[in-house]
Amino acid sequence: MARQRLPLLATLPFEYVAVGRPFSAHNPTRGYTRWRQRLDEIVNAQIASVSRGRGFVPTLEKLRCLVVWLSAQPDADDHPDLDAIVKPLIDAMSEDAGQNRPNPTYNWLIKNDRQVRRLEAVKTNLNAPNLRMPDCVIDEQDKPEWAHGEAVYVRVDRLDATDGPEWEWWK
Amino acid sequence: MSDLIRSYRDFLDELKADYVNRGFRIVSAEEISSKLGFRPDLVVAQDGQITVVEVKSTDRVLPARIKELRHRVEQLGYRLELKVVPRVPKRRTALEHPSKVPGLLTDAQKFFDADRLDLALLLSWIALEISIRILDARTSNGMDPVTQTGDVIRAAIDLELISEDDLADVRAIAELRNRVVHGFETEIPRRLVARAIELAGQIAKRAKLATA
Repeated sequence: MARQRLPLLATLPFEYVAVGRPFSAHNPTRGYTRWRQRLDEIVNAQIASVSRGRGFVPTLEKLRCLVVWLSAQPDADDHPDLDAIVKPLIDAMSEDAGQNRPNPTYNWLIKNDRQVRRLEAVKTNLNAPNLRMPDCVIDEQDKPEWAHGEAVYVRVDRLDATDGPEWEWWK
Repeated sequence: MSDLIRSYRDFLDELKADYVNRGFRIVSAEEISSKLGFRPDLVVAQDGQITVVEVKSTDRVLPARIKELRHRVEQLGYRLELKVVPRVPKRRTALEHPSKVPGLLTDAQKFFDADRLDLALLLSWIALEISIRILDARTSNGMDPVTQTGDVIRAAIDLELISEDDLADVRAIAELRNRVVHGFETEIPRRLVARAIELAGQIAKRAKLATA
């Protein structure tokens, strides 16, 4: 009988990218429901990829988190507020939030969102000259949806992770 | 008609200006296109570093996959930046005519009183759909408007515009509307048409499209 491979301790830093226009957690519409479901799928796939299918035991560390919303039209008046898009992006990585989901993925990075002690959220122009995006964002550029000009990047690391280009590439 | 907020050409001109404003120099694309094997949309240079800029949009085919373009560009020691032509925010392309709703409701009532139940039903349904879509658009974050009858009803349920008690009537009204629209011979119950006008009025009021 095949030996069951135990999940790995969650490895940090962890990054993921969701291509598409984010939704506000304040409006639980059908669009939000679909967006939230997509985030579950993206995080699930990313953890499966990083852990080579073994999954993670969620980390209990205190965390630092960066959210960058890349938009080809950052001034559009029909966008949700930046602060309103953050919670589902973090919840998608969280065991406590994920266990209450309709179809839990059982693939989570963190125990709960209270571990996030430092949070930076940015909305920036996707078309800004000389914008040097992380590889995981560049890898998404071949997707047809990229042409819609909206994507969100999330990076999580230990709270004491030092500043560096990986936190400031959007500047 | 394209739904892009700017044409590709206008956008490219804006990009050029952006790069120049940030101290980049525009380089002739012809100079390096033979080396690259494709003609780049824009080539800029700063501090000895050449950056190739490609522009992606929903209605434009790139010469190759971005990964391949990037590979070719980086092999020559250049950088590739991919830009996206901004699309018009969908709400600006609203298809609805909210101002029509009070008139639709008034006419629906007139046809109802004149016993033209088919016309009363259709006009009240149009008012109902417009009102639901307008309320749905306020929370749907720029997604495509709902048009299918089932989706319209689901949106109304999600938005709590109709209750579980109303649902049977709404489904019956939708079915009746389909039969009328498609020209099937059918009996049109007066009660259902009255209910359609009543519901359309209620939802239009919620959408602030009608006062009564």
